[in-house]
Amino acid sequence: MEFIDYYKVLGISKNATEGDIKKAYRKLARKHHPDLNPDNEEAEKNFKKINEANEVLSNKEKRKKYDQYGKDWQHADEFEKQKQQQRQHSRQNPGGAGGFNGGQSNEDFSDFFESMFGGQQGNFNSSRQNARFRGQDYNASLTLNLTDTLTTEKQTLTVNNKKIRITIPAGIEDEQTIKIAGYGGPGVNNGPAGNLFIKFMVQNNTEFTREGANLYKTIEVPLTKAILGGDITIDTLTGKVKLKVKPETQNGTKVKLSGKGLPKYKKENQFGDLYITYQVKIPTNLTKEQKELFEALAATNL
Amino acid sequence: MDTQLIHLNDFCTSYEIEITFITELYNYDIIELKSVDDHQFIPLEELPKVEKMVRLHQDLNINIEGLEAVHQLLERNSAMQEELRLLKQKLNRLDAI
Repeated sequence: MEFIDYYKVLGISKNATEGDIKKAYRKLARKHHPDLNPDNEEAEKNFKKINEANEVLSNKEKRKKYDQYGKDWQHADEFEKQKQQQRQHSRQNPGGAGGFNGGQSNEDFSDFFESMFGGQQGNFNSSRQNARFRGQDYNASLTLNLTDTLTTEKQTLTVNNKKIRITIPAGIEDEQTIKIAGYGGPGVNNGPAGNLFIKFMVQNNTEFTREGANLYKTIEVPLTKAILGGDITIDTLTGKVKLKVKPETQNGTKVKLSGKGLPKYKKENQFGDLYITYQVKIPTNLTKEQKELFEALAATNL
Repeated sequence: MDTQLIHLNDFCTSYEIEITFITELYNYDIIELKSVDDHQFIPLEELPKVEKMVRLHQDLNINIEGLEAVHQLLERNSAMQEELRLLKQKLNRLDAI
């Protein structure tokens, strides 16, 4: 268990006055307050550290105890053993489905703090640590393949030992978050439960590039086909499609295949488009005969 | 389906905050409240925002005017985050060419 230098956390010296502590805490709390730093886990962690440091240093008795024993706190080993046992126990009852990182740490205090001052004190200045009405919001993330998002899917997840059946709408995008109302922590004083937020990580396991519901791909077209025209067959997410390449097709020509993109999020039976860019392939390693033909073409001022 | 409504008294008792503070948030257009038979309620979906404003007020001593500014900046920040996400997607696509 690591010793925490609370003076360092608040950026003050060991002989800081009550006023210094208050001032340093206020300044850092404003900087790292989670409500002012949405979706920033680092800020949330820092805010907890700052609160913990303030909790100890702004309380005369705690500060005295910390100054006296802090560095070589004698019950550290004993506490660590107990903590390890708890961890082993929770490992025997794991939660969470495949690819799912669920739940949220409820440890607002460090091991160091808990071993020295006991468990949750409940008198933080911040109301964030414990629910005061509505329950805590939980955050989780779920990784999907792009090909899993072609249809709306139902999936059962386990979050904090609770089974939740969720619907993942087709066309969900990378880093999109959906809210499952009421599946967060329980409320207090008859307050409603918090919400569960699931952030989706959509990995592109296809050869297409994605932007919203549209897909993009560059296809090589042989030089002669670009000039004379002809058919090419390409793969889409829903099977092969034959395309007519027009005679005298220019390099970089874009073709739109309507409705061959991804399903649009929460718009049933609406699809994005697939854009194909033709890249004319300039032949290499020509045979003598082919080179002569090109020379003949060159003679016509082509 | 009717939205679940939270009685203002219940919320304020639990947060140990004056009802007038919440009605001021409403007067400044920071939050929405609903009146039913002369009683004021917080719609459930508005609750996280109300709690956020109360936390900022209680934790950091930010007054109503400050909260109004914070609220506007947070909204702008959230719109910019969404724009950033879309631009990243576009950049990814252009990089792939």
